[in-house]
Amino acid sequence: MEAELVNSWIPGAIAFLPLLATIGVFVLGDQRAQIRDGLVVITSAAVVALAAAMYPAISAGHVLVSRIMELAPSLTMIFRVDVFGFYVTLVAAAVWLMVTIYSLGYMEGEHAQTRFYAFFLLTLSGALGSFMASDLFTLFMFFELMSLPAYVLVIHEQTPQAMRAGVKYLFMTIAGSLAFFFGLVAIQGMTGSLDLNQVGKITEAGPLATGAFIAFVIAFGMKAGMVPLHVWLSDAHPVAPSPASALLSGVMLKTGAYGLFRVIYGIYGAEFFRAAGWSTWLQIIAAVTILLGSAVAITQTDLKRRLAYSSIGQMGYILLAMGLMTERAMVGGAYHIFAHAVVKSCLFLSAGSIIRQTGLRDVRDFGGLGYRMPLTMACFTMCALTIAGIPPMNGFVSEWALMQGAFDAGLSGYAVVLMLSALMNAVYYFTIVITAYFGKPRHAEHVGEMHDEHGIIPHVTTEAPPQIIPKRHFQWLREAPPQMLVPMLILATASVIFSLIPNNWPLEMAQQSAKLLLGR
Amino acid sequence: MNHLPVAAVLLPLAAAFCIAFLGAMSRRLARAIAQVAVILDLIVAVLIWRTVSTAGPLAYAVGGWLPPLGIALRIDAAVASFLVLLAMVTGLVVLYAANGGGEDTSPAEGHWFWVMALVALGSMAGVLMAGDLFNLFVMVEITSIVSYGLVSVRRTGAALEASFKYLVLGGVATGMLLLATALVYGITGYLDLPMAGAAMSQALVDYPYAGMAAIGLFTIGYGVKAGLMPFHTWLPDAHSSAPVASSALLSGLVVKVNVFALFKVMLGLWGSSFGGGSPLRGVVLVLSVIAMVAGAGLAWRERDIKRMLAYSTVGHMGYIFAGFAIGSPFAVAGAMYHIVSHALMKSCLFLSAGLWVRQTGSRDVNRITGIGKQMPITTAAFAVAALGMIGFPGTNGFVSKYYIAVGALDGGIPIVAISIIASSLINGMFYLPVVIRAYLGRSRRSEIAAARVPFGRETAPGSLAVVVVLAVLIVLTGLWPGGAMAGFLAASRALLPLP
Repeated sequence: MEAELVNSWIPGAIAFLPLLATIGVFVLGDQRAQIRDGLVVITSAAVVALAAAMYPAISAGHVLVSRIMELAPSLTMIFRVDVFGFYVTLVAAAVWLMVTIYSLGYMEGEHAQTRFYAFFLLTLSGALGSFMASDLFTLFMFFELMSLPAYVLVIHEQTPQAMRAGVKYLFMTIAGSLAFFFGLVAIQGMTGSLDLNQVGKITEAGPLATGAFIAFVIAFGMKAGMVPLHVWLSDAHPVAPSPASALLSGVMLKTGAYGLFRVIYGIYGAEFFRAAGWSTWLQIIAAVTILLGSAVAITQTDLKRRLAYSSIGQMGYILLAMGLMTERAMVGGAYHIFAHAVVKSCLFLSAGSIIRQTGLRDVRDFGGLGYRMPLTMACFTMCALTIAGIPPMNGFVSEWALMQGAFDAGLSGYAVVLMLSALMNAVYYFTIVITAYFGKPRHAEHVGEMHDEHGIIPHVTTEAPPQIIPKRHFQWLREAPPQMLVPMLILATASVIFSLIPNNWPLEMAQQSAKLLLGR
Repeated sequence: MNHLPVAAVLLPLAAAFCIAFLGAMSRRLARAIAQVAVILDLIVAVLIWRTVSTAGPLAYAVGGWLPPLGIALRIDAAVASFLVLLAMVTGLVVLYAANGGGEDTSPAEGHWFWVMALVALGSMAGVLMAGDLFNLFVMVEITSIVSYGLVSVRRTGAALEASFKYLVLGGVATGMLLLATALVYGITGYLDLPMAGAAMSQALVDYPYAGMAAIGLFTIGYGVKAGLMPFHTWLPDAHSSAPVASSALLSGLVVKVNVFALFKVMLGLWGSSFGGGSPLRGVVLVLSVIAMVAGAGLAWRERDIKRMLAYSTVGHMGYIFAGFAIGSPFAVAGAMYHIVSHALMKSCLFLSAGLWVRQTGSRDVNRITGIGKQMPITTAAFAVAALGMIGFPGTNGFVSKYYIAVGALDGGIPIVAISIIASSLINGMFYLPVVIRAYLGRSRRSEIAAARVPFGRETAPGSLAVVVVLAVLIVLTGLWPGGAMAGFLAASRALLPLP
């Protein structure tokens, strides 16, 4: 299906604007913190605006192309934005903007803010560049640009635990990159081109083609949190500052899924993929990921670890969609990219809000929190309902589409997996919600004193230590400041509103993306 | 204009000669002459490059005497690019050493460093351009002798021992090269490379054993000088005990020039990379694959930063040997590009490590904790070069590894691609912790020092500028390899027999 290619400066601008802004952030530094913070917000907002500006052309059926440069014969840096790329870019940019505004409140008083914001912007540039890449080299370059600065975000607190999690993340990322490199070289060797739009050149599943596919699964699967390459996730997401966790779970994981989508549907092609039997493998791995992620999440008592494992399970949904390959499954998977990005980032932001304001991280201590932080918990609850798949929330839309897709493929077993997962999600999210609204705090009488005596609650690990509050200043209401609340509310609203209004824009986009990927 | 090739050799030699006499009187004069000479030499190299890129390969007969009796200098696109690289890197190293670089603030060697660096520059240019076997041998020998001197220029105990080891092994290698040259002359009757090559196929029929011996001797001889495993044993000691400016020249340029000389000889005499179907190609491939991984692995175990960098060089020479041995156009072009990339990266690494060592007084990797706060720019340069060694896209290291890997698949030897990946992973395992420790480590001493040092004043400005220029070049050649890469591809396609 040949769409009209239109040259445009916008994709290039989206990818490079944050890069340039990074220089500004370093120059402004801690001395001019307010201007620096303003620069970060303006950059995020500008990127969203630019992404939205692509809509008219995209909806007219065009594909926007930005040719940046040709490094060497066969190594080019080109951006190519079709419906799928546009949709994912806009969602990512919008979520990033919300998290940026939240960070202004969250990071106040933290150390190394300049470093945080600078690498924040580098990661943004890398993520968006990955979503807009036209060929494997561009994808590789921006994938690396996203992954390496993310290390600095993960180890921000610089506690021993953070450094350990960072090392695990870094080496798995590098191993993934080298696998990606192998796939890149192999594709060049087999087809003579690195384009992400060259279906049909690979016709037989020989050792090199299979090896390259495995390499891509390792590279992208590691980034997407696929089992068994998920081990970095459960340590890295909890130790990172909450805005960074939100972005890691909300956006970075999606680049892994996106890359795999592009490689499977753009290079190997759906027919080849199914004929070679690889789709079955992908389905199985996805099912394991879903069940494992959700099951382990139940056992976690640290809020952020629970959310991290939940992310692993949720990414399994998207991987399952990729493996099922029916149109409704793909719609579900593509819609889930939007739904999960919005919901998981909101969940991490509310987790950050809870931890920062009350110092509580263990879910068993959340008794009464629903009344002490009403807005934050309202957001959390809305998002929890969404993920568990309660209609009419977003999560329901994608899960329903996925289940229908599984039936379409004749593999109703996966529908059972999805239902099990929904059940497990309900268990571990609703226990938190119930505790927050109907539970008593574990150390109800001593909450004020805990802050007073130690300043640090024993099971708090690496978040910023809560403030020492003398008992006479003990506040009941500990709601977060507006800069942190407003983004959370916007995200939580987004998780429910689209399925209520008649014009479900993300769903339309997801449907068009599914059609595009399947070549219809 | 048409005597430029000779100027490329004679200009540095003449300058070295001047410094040898005048330097004893005034060190300032020696430094000045050295810096002027390298700048002039860079201009000469660029002019040669421009001539070759517009008019095609250049052949120059020294003194007007034509082969087979005269000495011919032959410069094609690849050689011209390497000449520019040679001049640029030597120039930067000389500028670094002249402006406060190096681990020691009171160089005891006087003016001898400049002398030997300039002689090396001239003789390496001679190696690159040599069109006949004997001239090549003489130039390689001059380069080697000066290299022994560059190692021991500070006359520390460790350096003298390393230099002696280098001398002995290098001397044996020299003997092998001389014998190989003699054998080739004996069986073909020519010393001029193209003429000998033309006569070679008949000579191999008449004297098969002599031919095999010659090819083997050339490989081992140049293998020793280029640091191919298992002939590399002199390298870690020599490159680590030498002062960083010398190490940069040795690791960055000298070993590369020897590899290229081997490639030139193979191509000129036997018509294809590593003797076509000879088993030697397989042997070299196996050795280079092992070198890639083992070199990195040995570097990982090191605590001394200079030994770490030296072992890393051994590993990366494996890449270059592999690229040449595979023989497909992409692989050879990738190997040539890796000569350029690694020269830039390794000299940047050595020079910035030198600035660190100077600041902390220790070569132990654990002592540079937190130095990134005190010396952010130096550490940034090291980080960029380290990312290049790992093959991060956007650096020249990625470009060369990519080309070698694709060439390996083209040439039907996928094990090389896998070995490149394994080696890059191990490279990451020892380079990244250094960078992480430098920037994120906590050190009271660094924090106190950092508070006192304004941005950009962390060390002598001249040497700082040099490492920054190198880091910038690493990225520029990574993002715009265009001209050089296309040149190498064209050269390798032209040089190699059609598949």
